[in-house]
Amino acid sequence: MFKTSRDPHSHCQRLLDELTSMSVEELDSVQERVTRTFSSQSISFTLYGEDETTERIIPIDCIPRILSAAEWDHLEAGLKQRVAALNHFIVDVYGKCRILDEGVIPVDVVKGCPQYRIEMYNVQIPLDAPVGVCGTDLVRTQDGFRVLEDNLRVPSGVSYMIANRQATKTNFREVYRDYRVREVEQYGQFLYETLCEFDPTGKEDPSIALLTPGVFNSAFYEHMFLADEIGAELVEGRDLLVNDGYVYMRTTSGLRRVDVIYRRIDDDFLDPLFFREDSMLGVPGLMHAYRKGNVALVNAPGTGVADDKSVYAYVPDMIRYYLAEEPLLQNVETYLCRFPKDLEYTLDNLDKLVVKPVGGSGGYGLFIGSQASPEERNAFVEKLQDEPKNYIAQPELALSRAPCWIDRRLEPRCVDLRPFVLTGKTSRLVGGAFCRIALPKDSIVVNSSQGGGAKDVWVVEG
Amino acid sequence: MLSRSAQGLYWIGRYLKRAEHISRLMEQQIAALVDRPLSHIYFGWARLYSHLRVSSPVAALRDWSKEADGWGLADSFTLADDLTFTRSNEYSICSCFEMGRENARQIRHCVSSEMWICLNRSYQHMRDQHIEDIWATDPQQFYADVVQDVNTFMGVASATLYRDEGWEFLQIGRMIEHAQLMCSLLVFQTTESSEEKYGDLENYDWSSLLHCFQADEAYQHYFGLNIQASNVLNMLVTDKKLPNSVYFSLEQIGNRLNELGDAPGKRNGATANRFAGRLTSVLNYEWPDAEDKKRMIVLLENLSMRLHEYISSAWFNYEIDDTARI
Repeated sequence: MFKTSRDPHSHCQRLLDELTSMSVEELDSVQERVTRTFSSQSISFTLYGEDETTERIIPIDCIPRILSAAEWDHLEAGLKQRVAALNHFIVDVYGKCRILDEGVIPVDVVKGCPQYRIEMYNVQIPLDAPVGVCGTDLVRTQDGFRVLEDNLRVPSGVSYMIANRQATKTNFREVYRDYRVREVEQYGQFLYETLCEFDPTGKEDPSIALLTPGVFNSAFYEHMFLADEIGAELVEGRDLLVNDGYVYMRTTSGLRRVDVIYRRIDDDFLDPLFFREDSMLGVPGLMHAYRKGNVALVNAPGTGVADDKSVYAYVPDMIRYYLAEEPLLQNVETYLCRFPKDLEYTLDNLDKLVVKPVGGSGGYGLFIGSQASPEERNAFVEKLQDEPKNYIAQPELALSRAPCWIDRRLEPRCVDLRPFVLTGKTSRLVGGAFCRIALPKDSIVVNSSQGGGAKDVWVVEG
Repeated sequence: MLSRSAQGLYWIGRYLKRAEHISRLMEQQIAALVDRPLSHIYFGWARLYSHLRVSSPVAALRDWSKEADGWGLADSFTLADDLTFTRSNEYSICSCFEMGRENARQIRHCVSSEMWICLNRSYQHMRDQHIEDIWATDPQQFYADVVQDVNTFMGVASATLYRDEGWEFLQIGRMIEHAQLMCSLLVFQTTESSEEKYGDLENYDWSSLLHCFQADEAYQHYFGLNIQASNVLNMLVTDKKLPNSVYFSLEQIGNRLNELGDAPGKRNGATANRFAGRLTSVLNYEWPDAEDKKRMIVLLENLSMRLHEYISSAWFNYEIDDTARI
């Protein structure tokens, strides 16, 4: 909201005026209302490992984060460019492997990646768009927005973006109207249109199912929400079966063919005949139907190869290679510990770095040098030296902070931004994103799975 | 509709009906604590536990077929807690709400948002309470409120739920649960109410049932103020206009199965339809002349349990070999 401690961004002034005109009681009451909305609808994200109830209501902050239309337009162009390159890359590494042959990216970085799926080799990917839904994490530093990571497997958070908007906008009606905020509610329509484009039958009204691991998955609320938004059936593996190379779901009228599956289940569990044979969540024979082109899977299996954190470092090179353009959005400086020089730098500067497992997600397994005790540090160094190729390191960023209503006062908290890019025949973005908050003071971990909160993002025209 | 979603709606109907049924009896039982003799209160607990077929947490009351020694009025607190808030008791009202809500959560896209908010609020309200809280204030009102919550939910469902198969399965679930619980309750009632161990129940056992199931006005209309066990039994089993009668539920099930039409599990679907027809036929043609009413109620209970199995295997878990592909 502020450029310096006393100098607000011009596009934030209107909200700032509104906040300063409100009493503590008024703001408390707004916060209470938005929290109650989330609670009454049980808008939740499950935290694994908690033994009490498995549902946790997402902590929402009532004060929106403001981005100017110009800032957003730049992000939108950069994100579309990035996803286009990533899609080229995935199709390439499961096909001709040009980028590897020409040495732009080392072969072992890609083929040694645990998320590289040999089963996808030479599979015709519909629309050449393996990544139909991408959630890219961005942080704002002093040098502008930086891409922290791309989530190309089963990114979550978009339902909270919409729920945040519905809960927040009614509490700041006048400001909302004055600002002419861009809408996010058409995401469901965009997602539906995108999924329809993947339909292998070319029907006008394809049969779409959203495949969820089930009620115990952390993002189950989102799966329900999106199924409802796009008018799809919310199915679990046990609801589907493959017969003669086609996928069917078990309905009260008999077996109904499924044309497009928006899968929110990891590759490993998709099909026990192809991937993990102990998977109880998937559908035996699903990959067979997919490879025959009888059903579309969005996102395609194997996309995880491009959101591996080692591969992330090469995304700017991919953009130059496939699109012959300069990246519009910059990466965070990244050290690949697989390279001796980078490992040496990482070990020498551990207290200034955040070290991440290459195949990780959800903030699990992060090592934050500045916050680690000597014992934790020693234990981590041992792990790092044992398997350096499993880690990357990035500088601990001074993330931008946004004002949040905490304990009856405005407090700054670190935030990030996750916009969602939908790609079928065309690319689509709504004018907003999921904004995550690191709730504990001085924390930089925003992940929902680590207890992070959320706030609405307003992209303002006015 | 996805079979699992239909099954979810069916079970929402069942669990909420169960919660309502137990709450009605609990409301009556709590009222009895104020001024009824101990033997009547004992009968009330025995009726609740026996017809639900769950074990009592009070050791002295574990075997309802024997006269209990060492039981006291204070045990009512423990028993009420067990049937209201104890999660490990799958028949506690809280468990029923939790299971109903869990089914709704899994198929939330198949229930309206108003239904979800209504059920979620009721569940959260109940989850945050304890027996000490309600015991210290107005326990009777608490159970009345639970019944009200269920009625509100069904009213919201009636006003907002799309009238497709989901609606039919929600209603069928309610009706099957009601028929089974009523039959089970009436089996106990016809067997036990004349037992000496309960003393002279002064028709309390039957009049309390009329009150629980909102049949007292209708009863007075037809039979006056004189409570007779046979009349009460006839009314609760066969009255076609009484929403809480067994007949009313069974007839509704038959109508709704007709609405659903052919099931994907064809053989079991046809059997389910025949069973529903047989159940109402039994009441129409066999009940009036039957000497042994208890045997008839046991038969009705068994048939409705089998009806549940046929419905499950016709619409939810059917064999796929002979099923049409769409």
